[in-house]
Amino acid sequence: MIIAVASPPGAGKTEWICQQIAQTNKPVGYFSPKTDSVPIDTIYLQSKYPQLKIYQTGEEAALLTESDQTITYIEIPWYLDLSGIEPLLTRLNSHRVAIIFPDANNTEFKTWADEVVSGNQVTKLTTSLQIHRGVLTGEILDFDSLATFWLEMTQGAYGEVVRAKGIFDLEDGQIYYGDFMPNRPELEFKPLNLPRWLDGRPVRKSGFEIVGNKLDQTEIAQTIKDCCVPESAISYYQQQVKESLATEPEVELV
Amino acid sequence: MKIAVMSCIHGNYTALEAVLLDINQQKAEKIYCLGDLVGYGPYPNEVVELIRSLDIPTAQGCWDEDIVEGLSACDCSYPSLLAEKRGKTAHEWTNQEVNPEVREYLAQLPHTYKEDNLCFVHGSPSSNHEYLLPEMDAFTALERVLSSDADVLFCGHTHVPYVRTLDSGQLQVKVNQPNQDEQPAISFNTPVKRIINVGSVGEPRHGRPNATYVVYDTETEAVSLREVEYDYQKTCAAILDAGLPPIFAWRLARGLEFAEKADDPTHVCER
Repeated sequence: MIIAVASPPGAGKTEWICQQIAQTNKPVGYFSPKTDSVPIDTIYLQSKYPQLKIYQTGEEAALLTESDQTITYIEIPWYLDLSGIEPLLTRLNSHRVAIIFPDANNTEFKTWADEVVSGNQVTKLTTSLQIHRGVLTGEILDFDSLATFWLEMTQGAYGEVVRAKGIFDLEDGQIYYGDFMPNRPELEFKPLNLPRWLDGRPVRKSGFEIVGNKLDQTEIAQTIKDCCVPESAISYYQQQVKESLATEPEVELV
Repeated sequence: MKIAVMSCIHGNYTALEAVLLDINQQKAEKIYCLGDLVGYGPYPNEVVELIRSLDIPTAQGCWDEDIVEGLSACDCSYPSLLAEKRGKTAHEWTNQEVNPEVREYLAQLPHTYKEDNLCFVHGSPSSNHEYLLPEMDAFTALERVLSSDADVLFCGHTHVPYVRTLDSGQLQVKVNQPNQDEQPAISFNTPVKRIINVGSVGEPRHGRPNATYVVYDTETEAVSLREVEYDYQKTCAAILDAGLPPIFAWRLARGLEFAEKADDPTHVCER
């Protein structure tokens, strides 16, 4: 079975998919088109469900051949034109789920969907939303700097933000997930359950996606750059973490 | 006698003017300043010249010291790489901006200023880089006041005002010596001491843009924490006009300070 999920930004696609995965015993697959450069949701879901089968762009044919045994969710980014992905969805004979706030006037999604699910209320959505995506290639960030940037960014220092999420490699080898919506203060900024990277610059994808109005992309990029641990300090930090982990007592959960 | 004590002006001339006006309205007879006249803000020369023209007794702040001697704080004085980057940007800008007379004035400021049973420092009697936070353990806090040989220790540096009273108590000191079973203990009583942090005029960190300072009555020992509104948007505009990072203006407008305190607030750099 293939289930295509679409919504405006922040309505809760990934959250809904997460709930569905938790409720099934069947093998589950996941595909998010046009997000290969910064696959934030993919990495987040992978950290929660390590057995999740991830499909990359170019593997669409496999979605169909494996759909008998697997429930596969296609998460359609909000910025992707629904008519553009229509041929693929038709070919895959997918069930379409739209996640929208009950009172919202999302006629496009309502017309498109086979099923409408109640989602989060999204504030201040305008037609002129900008999206700023930053791809981090091996950069390691200082946690306190990142926390400062995240606070400033979510409070509007670099423009009005209606949605932000990101994954960041930190100096302790952990990868952190940040998730922000203006009306959801309970959202997270937390380490993901993924292996620590403690051998030089990480060879794995990280980055961020900020949606909003009048975003100062230059200043955002410069601030992220200022949060990065310099080359000369990376091995020093990583060695310290290794030594610290080596002396930690092993705890066995019973 | 009513005195006014202020600190951490950080080149914010508009805030300083508003505080001086408020001090005048409070009828304080004497003004003291705990340093950090410069750094981050757009008017370092103007602030120093005004303080100097009013002949305000002033202790040297860590920023004043850094402008005179060069950046002396080690990396661990910054809470993050981002704060370090911003701090160095502000230092370089200020260092280029200040004129020779201002630098000379900052150089001759004393680390500690004492008058009767009152002591005035920027950070602590130990260092103008040390933060005396309200949650600092009582023994260390008391040691800092005792070392100043005063009853009331006025400080700034944290940018958040507070009053802490250290009640009278008995201290017992025991020195362990090798090969000596009996360690003699020395007991002594400490009188009531107070730490009064006066907050910040030009770079508040209490969540609002308003300037803070303190009015203290030397006879009644009453303390009044003053919070003064001023046209902070004017300073924000001047920050942008001066070519300083726009984030400084954004943080000032929210009372978030430009940078944050170090992870180890009692850390004293030995570099």
